[in-house]
Amino acid sequence: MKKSYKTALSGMLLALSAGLSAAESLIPLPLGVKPGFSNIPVMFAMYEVNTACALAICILKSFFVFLTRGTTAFIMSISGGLAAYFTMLLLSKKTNASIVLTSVAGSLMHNAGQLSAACFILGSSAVLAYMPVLIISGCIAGTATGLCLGAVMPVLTKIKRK
Amino acid sequence: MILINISNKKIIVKKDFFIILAIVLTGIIVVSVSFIMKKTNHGKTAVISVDSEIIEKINLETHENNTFSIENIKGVVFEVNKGKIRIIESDCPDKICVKTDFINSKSEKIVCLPKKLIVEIED
Repeated sequence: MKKSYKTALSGMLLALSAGLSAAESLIPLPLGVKPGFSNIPVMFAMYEVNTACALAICILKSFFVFLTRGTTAFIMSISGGLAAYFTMLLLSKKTNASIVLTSVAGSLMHNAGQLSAACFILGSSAVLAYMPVLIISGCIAGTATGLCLGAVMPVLTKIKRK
Repeated sequence: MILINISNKKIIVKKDFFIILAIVLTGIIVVSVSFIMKKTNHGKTAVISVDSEIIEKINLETHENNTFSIENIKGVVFEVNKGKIRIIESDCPDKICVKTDFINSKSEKIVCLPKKLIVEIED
């Protein structure tokens, strides 16, 4: 893959990620639960472009959140995003875990990372009460995004040139 | 069960169902236990704290049913009604604190992350 092509593709995936992140905030769900569709471009980049590109999308998407929703949301986004990124990196490169399983693990670690950040911001462990609900929602959301990625992958790989 | 292969990875395998199901079931058990606890674990004092410092304690049984705001906490309006408390208005972006609605059990909490605000229930 040419370097210029890779740069352009990363930019498009970042735009897709930011767009999905903005769109999913319109879906009304209780307790601040989000489906996490912005993980689809990150996973695509991890599998089909390279891991550095996926990390860049993950961090820059958090800056987009900073611009649109402020500092607290940024800290939550980047802590969750990085926790998910490194979990998925480990699972996708070192094991032969399936895409859905990688996505579920990433989603659960995203929630765990966010809760840790929330504990840190609040200086209290009160938010840990949300953990059971976030585990269930993380499994459902992770399965959904994993299946979505599987469904859109044949389409997305068409735009990818060797 | 293989749909297609991506980078030599399967989308979903049989084993995944059991792993995910096990995690979800554990979660459901914990949630249902805490739901049962919620029904029996009522308290009558609301403790409002910001940045882990207690700002105000409100007795929910003697407090009149009305909406009020607290001087040190800008942009937040609380409401007490029939021994329950909720945040009815807040100027934070996500409004998770408002969506939490009324609480009156010791296992429930209202949290507003941008304001570092926690409302807990005690005896």
